[in-house]
Amino acid sequence: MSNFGSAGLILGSMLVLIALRVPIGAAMFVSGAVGYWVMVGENALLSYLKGLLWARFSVYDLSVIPLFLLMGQFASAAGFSRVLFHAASKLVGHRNGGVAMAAIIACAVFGSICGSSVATAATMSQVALPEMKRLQYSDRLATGTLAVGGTLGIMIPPSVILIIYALLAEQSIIKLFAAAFIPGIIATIGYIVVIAIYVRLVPGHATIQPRASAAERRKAVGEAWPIALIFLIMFVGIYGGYFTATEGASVGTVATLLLGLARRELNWRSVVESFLPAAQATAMIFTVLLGANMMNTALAVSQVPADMAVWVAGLQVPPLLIIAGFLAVFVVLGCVLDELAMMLLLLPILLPSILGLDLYGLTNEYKAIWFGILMLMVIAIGLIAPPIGLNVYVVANIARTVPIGEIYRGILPFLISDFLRVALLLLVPQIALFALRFVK
Amino acid sequence: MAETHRTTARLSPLAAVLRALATLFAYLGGAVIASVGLMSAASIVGRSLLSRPIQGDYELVEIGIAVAGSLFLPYCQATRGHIIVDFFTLRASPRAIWNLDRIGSFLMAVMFLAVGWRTLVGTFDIARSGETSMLMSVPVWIGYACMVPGVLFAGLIAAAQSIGIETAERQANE
Repeated sequence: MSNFGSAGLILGSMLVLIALRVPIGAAMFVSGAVGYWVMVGENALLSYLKGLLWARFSVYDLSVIPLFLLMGQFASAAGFSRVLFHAASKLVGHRNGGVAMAAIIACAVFGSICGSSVATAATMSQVALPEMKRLQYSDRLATGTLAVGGTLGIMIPPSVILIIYALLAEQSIIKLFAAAFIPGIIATIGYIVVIAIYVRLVPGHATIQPRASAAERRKAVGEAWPIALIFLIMFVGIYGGYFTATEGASVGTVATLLLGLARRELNWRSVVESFLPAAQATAMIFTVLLGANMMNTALAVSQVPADMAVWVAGLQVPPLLIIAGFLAVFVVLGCVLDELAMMLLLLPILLPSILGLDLYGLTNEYKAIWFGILMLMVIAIGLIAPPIGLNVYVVANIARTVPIGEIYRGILPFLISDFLRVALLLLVPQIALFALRFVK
Repeated sequence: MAETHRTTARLSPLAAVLRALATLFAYLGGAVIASVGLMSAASIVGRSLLSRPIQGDYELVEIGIAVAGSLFLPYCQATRGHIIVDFFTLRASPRAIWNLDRIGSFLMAVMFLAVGWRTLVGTFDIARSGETSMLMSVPVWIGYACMVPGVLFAGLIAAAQSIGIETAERQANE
């Protein structure tokens, strides 16, 4: 069989299995293993499998995944979302739509210590939805804001998706985090601007609240600043070259734990219970990484990604258009596939092609980092876009009386800012890459 | 996420035992991760205050994450925490879904048992060759060996699920 045929068969059988509810890790592993067997034989496969688990799991940088997941669990259990939302509400809640803006700000700060979009959306919704309801904000604005705000959990570092991208693309986690930083802040500002415009154009979705007194503001901010301090210590340490990413995650996790214990928000029981969701999510990620490794090895043997890169480089099409096309593939596939799975599937096939293009004369490292941030934003869109936006289901699960369609209507205006931001970053890579000069 | 790790009252005795053991494995892995975190944090303190780094902390983290990752696998399998795509089977009958999920569990079992078996063989190969880590001279076969129980047990749970033993309550959308 030709190499192209083998690769087609591997990918085809995998997609069929995925469509039939087979867990994605197993679908990738089984198709890849069978393909490898057919192409290079049984003995090669058996010998490859002997070292696969160790090679895939004993990776220093992988340790940041359970640590950041655990930190997010501690932060949720310790009620950080409530403290942050409370402080942000006291600061901006008196503006038109201000409580929704406060939810976005709280999501952004929570996102700076949590690497998961779902966790951010869930914990912030539990706090902010009842409060917005009490203040007579519309369900549409409230739920839309929280579904969108949740994506700041991955857009602002730390970000589990970005860690996995770094591992797949063999790039530095620290540099990717640094590059995500400014685009993450632009996203936060963009969402706030959307709320400000929306409540003015379409009245009746928000109410105007009395301004908090200076004493109230000081008290609320006084409670919130230690959380920002954890973020500062972690990232000054990481970006300044004092810590590795793992050490930064360790410091952040221990600091979050200590702050939660000191405030009596965490107890022995909640600490122990925090381990289980972190363990589950870690195992889920490691399993897909294992399956992806098998599949990518088989695809690499078929040489198809390399051949495709040569073909793409020879296309008489502007490189930027090709990148935009790749991102469009992510958006379309993101409608039906899980975002993590999509990245694991597409990246090994597309990355060689991306690195083969001439994009603003960037080095391969910068191209990979820039595309990583672009992809992160597109994945964030996939988390809130119909028909299956994961964050929408998370919010719907908490706001039980609000129909899914109403949440999607709330999300719609925010999507404009998302697409504008992707276009901006496509045209001006320096928005992401600028921060790299401060990384040691 | 909160829903997926709730225990259910209607597990068969065998399923309940599998699930309890898987939870125990997860806590063991959690203890390993906690040690990795505390050691890394201590290593910074040692380096900056006493200018004495912990020797070979890099290698310990690598072994720790590999072992912890393998110990988390049974829990994720028992609670059906793996990602699936349900978009194409939204209209399938519950019966059809139940059967598809048994196929999915069967393939998970194939994956974990194959990898576990080969890792076990790899353990003996590496032990014979006497390979050790660079800085601390830890025999590499120990790392291999510590990964075997977790991945084989995850395979066992998946196999049990594929013959119809439910270790988790059914989720509408997970």
